[in-house]
Amino acid sequence: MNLTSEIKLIVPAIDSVPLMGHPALEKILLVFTFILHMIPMNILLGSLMIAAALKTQKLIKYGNYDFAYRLYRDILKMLPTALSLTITLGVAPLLFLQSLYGPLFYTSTILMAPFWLLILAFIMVSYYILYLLGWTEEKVLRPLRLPLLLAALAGLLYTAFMYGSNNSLMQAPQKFHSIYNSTFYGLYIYLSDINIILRFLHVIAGSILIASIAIFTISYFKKENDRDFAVYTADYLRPVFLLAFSMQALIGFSMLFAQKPEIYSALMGENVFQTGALWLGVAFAAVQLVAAHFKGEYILKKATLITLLVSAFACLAMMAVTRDFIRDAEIGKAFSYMSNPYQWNVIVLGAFFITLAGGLAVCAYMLFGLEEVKKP
Amino acid sequence: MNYPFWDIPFLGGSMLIAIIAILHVIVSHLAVGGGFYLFLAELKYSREKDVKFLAYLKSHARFFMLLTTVFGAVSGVGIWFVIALVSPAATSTLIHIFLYGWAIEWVFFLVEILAVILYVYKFDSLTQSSRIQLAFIYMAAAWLSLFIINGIITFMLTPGDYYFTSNFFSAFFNPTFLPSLLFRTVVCIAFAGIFAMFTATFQFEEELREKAVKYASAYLLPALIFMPLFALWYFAVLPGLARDIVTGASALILIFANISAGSAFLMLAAGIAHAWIEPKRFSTIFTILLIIFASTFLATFELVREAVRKPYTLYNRMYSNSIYVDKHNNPEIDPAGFLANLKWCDIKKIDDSNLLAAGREIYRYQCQACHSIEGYNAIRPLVKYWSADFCEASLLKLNTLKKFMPPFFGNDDERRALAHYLFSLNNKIEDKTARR
Repeated sequence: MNLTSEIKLIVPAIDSVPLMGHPALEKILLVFTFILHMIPMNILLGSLMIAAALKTQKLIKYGNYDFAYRLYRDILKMLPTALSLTITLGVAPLLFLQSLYGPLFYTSTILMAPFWLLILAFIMVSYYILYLLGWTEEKVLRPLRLPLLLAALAGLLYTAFMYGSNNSLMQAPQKFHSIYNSTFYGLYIYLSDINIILRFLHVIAGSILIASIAIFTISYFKKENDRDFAVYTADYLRPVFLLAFSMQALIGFSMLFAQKPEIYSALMGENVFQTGALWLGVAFAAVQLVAAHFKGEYILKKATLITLLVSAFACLAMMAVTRDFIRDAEIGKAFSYMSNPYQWNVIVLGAFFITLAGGLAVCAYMLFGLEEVKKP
Repeated sequence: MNYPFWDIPFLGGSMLIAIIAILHVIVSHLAVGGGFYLFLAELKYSREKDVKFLAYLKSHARFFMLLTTVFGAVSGVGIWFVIALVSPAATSTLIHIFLYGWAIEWVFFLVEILAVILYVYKFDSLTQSSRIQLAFIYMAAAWLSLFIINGIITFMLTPGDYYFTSNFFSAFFNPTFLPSLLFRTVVCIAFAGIFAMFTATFQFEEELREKAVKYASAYLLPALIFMPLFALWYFAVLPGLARDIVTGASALILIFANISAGSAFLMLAAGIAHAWIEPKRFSTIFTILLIIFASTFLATFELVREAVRKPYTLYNRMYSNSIYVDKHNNPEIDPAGFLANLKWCDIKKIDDSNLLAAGREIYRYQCQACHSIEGYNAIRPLVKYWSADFCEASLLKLNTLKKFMPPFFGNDDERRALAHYLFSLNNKIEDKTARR
């Protein structure tokens, strides 16, 4: 018996109930909804780190104190909403992940069950801390503010790490049996893969990049009322962005070189689609780098903002596609999501897509169509 | 057995699910009912133009958002996490059947969350008409979210003819779908009323407090009138065994059912009576008492609902211990035995040297989903005075002696091994192959 068939034996069998659409459709939905989830998640994590940097007043020289404090307050106020949206938008990819990779995902989760469940407590505590600091900071004792902020950050970093660890473990079914025999209580954290640490650092640096663009966007829309603040924000965020970009480039290439030879080859030309996705992502990152260098009047131009936003989104999307490819390549022949049985149910699928379109239209209406009280 | 078993000492998986689920169910019912409250209270304001009531509504909405958007959402994800850990096979089946149902529910959830966030954060900057629209969108999305989830939950107990037809709609619109939906809807509205009474008691101005309390008490009326009817309807369409369990086959479940009904009556009757007879003396302490009644009612109701599903997790499809009912899906009843098909266990053949270890493995996969060793629903006291022979004989007739127990799966050697292990829990027997 070769290694692959031994692994297949231990991977739980796929449920015999057919899915209502082709697994490839669900794969597309998985990647699409994962990208949607990544947007608020990156904004949340990165903004929180930038807020912590502002609060500690150490990491980056911030110049104008009033503007720095305003920036800090603006960031804090948006964090509870970012966390709510991160949770909400995280539900869909988790759903599609379970439907396609259930046998791997459920098993890896069981192997680290208590650590996985702790995520819930950390998210909840982090949310209430962020709400306290964002909306009622004056009621929080001054010496407690920074420790609370750091506690919320630690809770969210724990969550990010556990997600990465679980997703990495589900890619290693050959380790399932021995891990399970070492603990029936799920007291296992998967650390024995350099990619886990690299992925975690990649998430951290990436979140700072996305967050700095998001924060800049918010201040951009305030430029009519307060141009100086918008310029200050851009000036403050530029070195943050560049620092994170340098880290990200270093980590990203380290990750590339740490891949298995067959995955590395696929990303370096052997597989046109995957090579294209990765290097398009890198190209879009380079576009962000150029745009972020603009100063003064140029950074406040609409074209610069659109360039930053579009390239950041495109880069994120390409990296999500690459990430998905790496997952399937890592799992290899031990499991294929395409083996899930399916039987088209056009009515239910149609109901979903109509609801999705309707729901997004209602969201757009709520965001942009509601009438506000006219200010005198 | 397809998946590894997560061993949770003392508490057991079913109790862990119950703890998270009950917390979530209380908040999620409030989240749905709260939509009705926000919308109707906005309409009340548009009729009366009472600015003090509007100020109260604003503070109420903020507290409501804080409780529902994160606690409700995270505990909801928590249920998912924990059922996938405790019953991965059942979760996988549910996801395969209802994937797009859940995906539709996610869209409603997204709309609901965005609506309440905008409603609260833009309360002052939006026109009243916009606020009414937001409240309506929230109400509709939250109730539709209940509509979907209700179909999935009720399917687990009453799958209708899904397993014969494989028709999504016959799974979703199953026999208990409608009575359960109506029952939960009036419960949601009542919960919104009780929560509004609670926030109203924090209003300093007596007139406003009295007005808000009386207004909130009206939300308890639909439940007082219709809840017994919907409960009876729900009970009438339950499978026969489920009805037997709730009417006395299990004394504990009968007690829980009575506590549930009693708490519901106390919550509704006391809330309405106090609000109308003595609204001025309506205190925070009293509303906390109402919340305790409400929580007790819903917690025991959910426990009963889960318990009447026994011996199944998915009725007529999968037993509580994740073993399939259908022989075609059931390698566990292969003549080769249970252990031979147990992926996660290294013991495949039983002899005298591994009897105890084999029994422990069988216990883990066939019993531990419901019975901890000495904690919740502990097995040790249950078999305290049983001899090894009596254990073995009981296992042979397990599902006949107790209808809410799954049958034992395995060959004679495996039954002997499990009996030996059960006997060892209260009697000293040398373990020759202890793994832990």
